[in-house]
Amino acid sequence: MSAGPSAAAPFLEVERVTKQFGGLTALDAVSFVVRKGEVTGLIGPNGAGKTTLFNVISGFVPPTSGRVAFQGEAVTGLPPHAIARRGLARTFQIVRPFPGLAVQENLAVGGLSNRVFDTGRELAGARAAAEQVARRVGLLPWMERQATTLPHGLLKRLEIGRAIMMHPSLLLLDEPFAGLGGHEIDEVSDCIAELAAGGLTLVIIEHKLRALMRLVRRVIVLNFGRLIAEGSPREIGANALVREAYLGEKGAARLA
Amino acid sequence: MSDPQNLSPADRLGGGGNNLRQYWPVLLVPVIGLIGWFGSQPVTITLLYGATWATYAVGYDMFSGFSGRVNLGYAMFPATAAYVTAALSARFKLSPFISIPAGIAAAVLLAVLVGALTLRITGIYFALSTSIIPLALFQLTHVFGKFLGGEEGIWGVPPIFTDPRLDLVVVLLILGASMCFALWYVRSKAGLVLRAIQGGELTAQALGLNTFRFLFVSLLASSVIGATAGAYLAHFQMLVAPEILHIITTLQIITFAQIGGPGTIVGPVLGSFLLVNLNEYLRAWTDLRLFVYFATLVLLLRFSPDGVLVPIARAIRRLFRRTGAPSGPEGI
Repeated sequence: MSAGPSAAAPFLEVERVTKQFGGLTALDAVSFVVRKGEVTGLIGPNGAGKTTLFNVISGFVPPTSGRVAFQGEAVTGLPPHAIARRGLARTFQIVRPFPGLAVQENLAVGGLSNRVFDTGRELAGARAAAEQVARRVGLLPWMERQATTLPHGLLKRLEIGRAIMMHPSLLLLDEPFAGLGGHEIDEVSDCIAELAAGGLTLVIIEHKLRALMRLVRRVIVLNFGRLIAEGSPREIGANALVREAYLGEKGAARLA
Repeated sequence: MSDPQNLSPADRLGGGGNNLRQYWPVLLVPVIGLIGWFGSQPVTITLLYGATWATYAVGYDMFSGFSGRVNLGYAMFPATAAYVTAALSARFKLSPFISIPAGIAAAVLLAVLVGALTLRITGIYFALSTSIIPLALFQLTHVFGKFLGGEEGIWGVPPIFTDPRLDLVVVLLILGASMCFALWYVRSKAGLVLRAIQGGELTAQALGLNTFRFLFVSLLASSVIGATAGAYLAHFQMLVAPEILHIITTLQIITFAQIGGPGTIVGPVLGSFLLVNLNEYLRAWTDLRLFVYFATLVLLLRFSPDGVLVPIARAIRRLFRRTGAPSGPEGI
């Protein structure tokens, strides 16, 4: 990798982000940075605040305090669509295909601009781009199918495909392997690895650690809304706090 | 043929891409024109009202039929246009060339306000808030009773033509233009985005779509269509009564759309002509008529949410296709 001067500058900067829901502190002064081209894992027990953190970064939930900057500019307070337009895309833990839309149309929606009136060129372009993306994520044989009728494994790929239709520079993946079996995980994992190899910066929430560790160089651990550890998979596996809060001894063995 | 795993043609209408063939149902308009021109005066008048309601239904359908946002106050757009047009021409004796555009402009202004107030409200609360606004406007017609006529409405709007057949030609031109525009709009990119919004507005936002903007522009476009027909109604009816602001007016529009096939543009037109004609035969029993309407609406929502007329037309087409030459996969 050619490391230019900008390669080391923070690409995504999360600064003391706190989120309170009533009396519950879902995120407690969480700070970390993600560098361009990096693939970061975000792990922690259920309820640790991982998805809330994604929701704050992508603008779906305003933080109680703190700040998120993307490519050097603050995005806190911007609506979700504006943040997405800056190249920060996300997927959802529970798949959200558009019902009533074909697979091809689901993908095409991800490639549309915010101009309401179109002579037809943009729509045709988005449909053509959908074919390209479908080839990359392996959805080509199902393009005409109503998306909601796809099996779960394919819906997971549709989520990723729809997000990359936007040509994001940072992609937040919320449990891309959830509910998938052995070879399905390999397929989605290969697809993610390919995106990373193409230069896409990724942050991945995942409980399936063995699969996750094949993809990431760096891991962030949340517990009860606090960032409790940050480091390489090996460092995280050796961290006593993380073992106690989340991994257990067996889990730690998977990171070794 | 109807594989549940594949999309039905109705699903494909939104954002399906434009082609010339999609406009063939607009040929219905000149056919109705011929019937109205050579028919007896009562037939002409019935078709005049049918075409007005059909235009409302097109305007309603291009927004609600595709975005899934039920606009329970749609009648406020034709009503506002009708009131402003009637007031300007009956009270100030302005020419229809001024009163009609002014009426349409007033309705669009209202749509801007309504959009800003309601479009960020989702689900049932959107329907609730849109249904309340015409009730507030209804009160305004009484508050400014001197000017807007209160319970009586505005009488003495000067007619544009003395021959109702010429009125029919104008209203059919409005209907035909509205159908062409609505068909183009929903088959363009905007139709695809509206369907995506119906399927999951937050998901669409996560993909960078400013869903508010698409809903807002679509609401304005849908208001222009209803307002144009409403403004002209004031002139050929020569009066505007406050009942047009009742929720019943919108419920009738929804019934027409629902019988024809919501989200198809053409279905609501067919539904309107069918029911307005049926209306004439049921004229003697006014109250029962509305009962039949609304009972039908409930049954349709339960048993045939895709409507009746368009599904039947499609089944017939499928029969022909099986025997005849293969035709395109899209369209009505």
